[in-house]
Amino acid sequence: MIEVKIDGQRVAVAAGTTILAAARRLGLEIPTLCHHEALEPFGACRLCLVALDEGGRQSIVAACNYPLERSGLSVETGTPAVWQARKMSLKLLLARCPGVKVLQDLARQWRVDTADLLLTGDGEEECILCGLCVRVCREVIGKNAISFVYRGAERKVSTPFDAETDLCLGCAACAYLCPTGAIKVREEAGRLLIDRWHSDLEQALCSECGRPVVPAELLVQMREKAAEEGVPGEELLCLRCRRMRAAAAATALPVPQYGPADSFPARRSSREEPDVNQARKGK
Amino acid sequence: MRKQVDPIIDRYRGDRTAIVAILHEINAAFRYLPREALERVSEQLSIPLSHLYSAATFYRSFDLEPCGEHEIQVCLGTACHVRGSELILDALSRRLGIKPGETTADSKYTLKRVNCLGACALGPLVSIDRDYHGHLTAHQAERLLEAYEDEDA
Amino acid sequence: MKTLKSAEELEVRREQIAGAGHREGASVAVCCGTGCSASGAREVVAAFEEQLLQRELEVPVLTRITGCHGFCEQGPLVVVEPGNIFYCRVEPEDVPEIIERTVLGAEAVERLLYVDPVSGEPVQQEAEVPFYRGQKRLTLGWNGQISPHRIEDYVGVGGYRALAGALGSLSPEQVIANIKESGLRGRGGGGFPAGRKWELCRRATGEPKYLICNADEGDPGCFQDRSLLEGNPHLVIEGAIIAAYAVGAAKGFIYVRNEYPLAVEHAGIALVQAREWGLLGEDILGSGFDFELQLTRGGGAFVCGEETALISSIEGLSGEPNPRPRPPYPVEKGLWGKPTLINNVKTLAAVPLITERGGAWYGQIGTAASKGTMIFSLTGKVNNTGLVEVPMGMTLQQLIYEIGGGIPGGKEFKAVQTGGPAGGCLPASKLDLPLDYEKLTEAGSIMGSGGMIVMDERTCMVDVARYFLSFTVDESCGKCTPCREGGRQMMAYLDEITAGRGKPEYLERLRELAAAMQAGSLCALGRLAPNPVLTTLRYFEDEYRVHIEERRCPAGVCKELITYSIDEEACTACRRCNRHCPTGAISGPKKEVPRLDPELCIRCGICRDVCRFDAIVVQ
Repeated sequence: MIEVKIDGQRVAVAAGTTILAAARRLGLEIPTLCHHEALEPFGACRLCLVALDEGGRQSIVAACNYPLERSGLSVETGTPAVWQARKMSLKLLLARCPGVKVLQDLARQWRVDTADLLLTGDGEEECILCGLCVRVCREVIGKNAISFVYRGAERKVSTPFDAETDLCLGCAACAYLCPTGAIKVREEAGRLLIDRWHSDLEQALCSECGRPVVPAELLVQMREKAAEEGVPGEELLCLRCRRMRAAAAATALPVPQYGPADSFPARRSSREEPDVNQARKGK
Repeated sequence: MRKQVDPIIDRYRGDRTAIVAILHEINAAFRYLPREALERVSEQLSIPLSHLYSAATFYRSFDLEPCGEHEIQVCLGTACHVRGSELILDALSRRLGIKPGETTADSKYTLKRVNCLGACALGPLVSIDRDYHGHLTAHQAERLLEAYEDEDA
Repeated sequence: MKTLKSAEELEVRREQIAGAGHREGASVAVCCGTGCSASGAREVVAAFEEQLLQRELEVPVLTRITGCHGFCEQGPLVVVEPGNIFYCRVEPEDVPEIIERTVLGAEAVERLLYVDPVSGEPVQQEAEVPFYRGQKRLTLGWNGQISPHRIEDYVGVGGYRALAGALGSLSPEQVIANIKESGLRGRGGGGFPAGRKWELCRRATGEPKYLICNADEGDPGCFQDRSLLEGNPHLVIEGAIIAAYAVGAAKGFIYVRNEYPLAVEHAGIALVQAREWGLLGEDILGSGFDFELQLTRGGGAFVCGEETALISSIEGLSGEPNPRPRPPYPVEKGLWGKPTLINNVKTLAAVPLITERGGAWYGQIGTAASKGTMIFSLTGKVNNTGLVEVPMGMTLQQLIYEIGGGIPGGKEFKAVQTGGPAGGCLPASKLDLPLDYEKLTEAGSIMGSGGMIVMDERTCMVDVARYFLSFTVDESCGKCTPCREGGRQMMAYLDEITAGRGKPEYLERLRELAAAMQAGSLCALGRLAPNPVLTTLRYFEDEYRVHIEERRCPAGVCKELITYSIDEEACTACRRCNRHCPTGAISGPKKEVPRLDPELCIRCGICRDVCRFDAIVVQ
């Protein structure tokens, strides 16, 4: 264990703990856009910048991926320099994606506007390149259906050759983690569509009501995995039918794993959600 | 396609560091990176296609469209820049009727900008098919191109 | 070729080579570096070989190919024995005369000698050329003497002796102590003490350890790494093996820029030779030390010069290189999470010499905190362009005027840009600045990789700032917000200013964005990218203001702020400009001074190129 100081408070953490994790342990709020507990730290959005003092040597670092390696380090999360740098990161992202609500909200809160910048987007662009989608697809789902392509100002997230890829199963974990709503998943005529990835997938139907529930290929792969682990295959039910049955059996409702239940009711049952830890182990 | 790609793949089997090297060889063999070739590499070496495409679009050495017979690189290194290399790029671009990065409709020429060829004392510098031509003016660059055109005609 | 099994065997081999290689009488050495080759050196070699053969001489005269001499502007360069006579700008047509008069007649062909621009006198020996006189070519010096294709040449001049000495009689700790004593600092940009870095890597836990020779020389306007790897690859390889021995690395990579085909070729040949001779692989020179070194080609990305991006580029994991923050430092967790020593080509090239002659000896050269020599790429608006190796601490003035021969065409010196795209522009008032790491940093620039681009009154500083920024914006990987978005926004302001649409407050916006990039970017590329803008703002703010307030480019560079016209006095109505103008902007009846229509003129500069009477005026 090492001991460091964050905003004047002493905290003991295991060596290698990130500043963000240590600060959160103290209940300190540090804003992030590209961070997720289940994924490797990335350090791209630069909203979590903090001031680090290493025995007199001062620098601004990203809290999310700066590992605290030794005692005696001191971190300040809210100095004027930190706020100046964070605000500029936000301002630059807002100029890129002026229509994105999470940025607009933060900008209001931080009193940031983009009036004095020359380049401001037309609102079409909603991707802030946080990479949560790329990383969840790689690190958790293990499919690598999407990646960053091109570089610099042209950098974007896309499928290989910007075309439909059979690696996308339609699990929509990318859309679920996307902080800006840039990845839109919709259902049309019984098919699941993720336009951004050119995905157009056949859905398996609820055995009770016949509603589309989950992309067929995803279901196949989940059942294979379940079989490998000795979990017996279950009848496919949509959430509503499942609840009805559950209510009928007077047992507890399945608890949604995370997030509000209204976004993708069809795939929100705990059984069907790909298990983060299982997927990682299986990689 | 496979006849050309498979020997390249075989050379790098088991080499963890090979993505860029493989792409170099494929690019040299086809004068660009054909999609089918990358799919073959992905399948044979179990490298996700998305990673290959990521590298293919990130690095400047690779082409995603077929290149022309002659590759013209205009050096835009600093030494070349202060001696007027932009004017040379403009002249060649005008003359060929294409923008940097494009290939002429007859597939003869591809015009590229390159950030430094490392022959800075000779700037402004143009390389055509890896032959270097130094100390050029915009006018001389046009003449150089004419010489190639005459040879091909 | 029999594998060498001990230091003694290497010494025997060296004596054999030295004995056999010593040729009485004549030889011809032609520089075939990238620069000279571009100027036709290969044709000169072919002419010598063919014509010397035709002569059927009793004692055959050898035509040798050598590495880059660094004086590329004057190439192709040829050195002829007897007399060690140095010829510049040699063409195949000159070959018969050189053979007749110098090779056979032992006299100089005066018209091919270098003429000292100051004294106007021809110079016979390379070492007397003012360009070389003030240099101390510790690492570059061998380039001109040996063929990069021949390990025999390198061994013949004492190559791999330092390695043999280190393996035979020094512990890794002693090798490191020696490097520490020398004061050698990283020559790739950071200037981190090399001995300290080696020590950290030596002490780090994790097996195997790796070594990377960073030859991804991305700075535009720099070519010293190319020249070393291309002209004397074994020097770099020897340095790498010594470094590997010191830190305990089992495997190494030379990461070369793909834009340097000749360096790739020569390094590849040299690696094969070193392996054949038992200098790489298992049980090197019978010492029990194993080390494997391989070549990796870059893909054309400046960011890969950054250590963490370089590592991820070699790993190739997600395809794109992925810079990450430090700690952990690569010496602790580098390639595949193992301790990895990354050194620049120039750093490793200094290692054999330091190992052989001692850290104390090297430490005497240079200044208190910047020891040894540094190789600069001296280019731009300077008479003698090329590679210059000088002791640290030499002033800019000495470098540019004494070695570089000053500014061509009697023009005024305006600025010098050091350190590449991450460096800065220094004005005439800084000419007395001694070249060391700290002094350059204090002045707002950096030592960097040794780029040195001289600018004169015809260089626009706003355009230069815009040029460097456009480079870093183009090369940004795009991962973090400040570098990707901030760079783009800064470019927009500079575009407006150079197009004559600038506003006074733009300078403040530029400073704010620059500060954000410096503070918030993920890697060094983004943090240093604003330097050219900041230094030009610091030293040449007036020039920005003229662009903004008077809508004028004083240097006559910014296209949208200049006009072309014809000087009626100077014009002879030859109509050459008229014929070559691509847009028909120049017209008029025969035998009259043509008219130039500013509306049609695209400022392509061709009329000025073709005019023989300097009658095209740019304002």
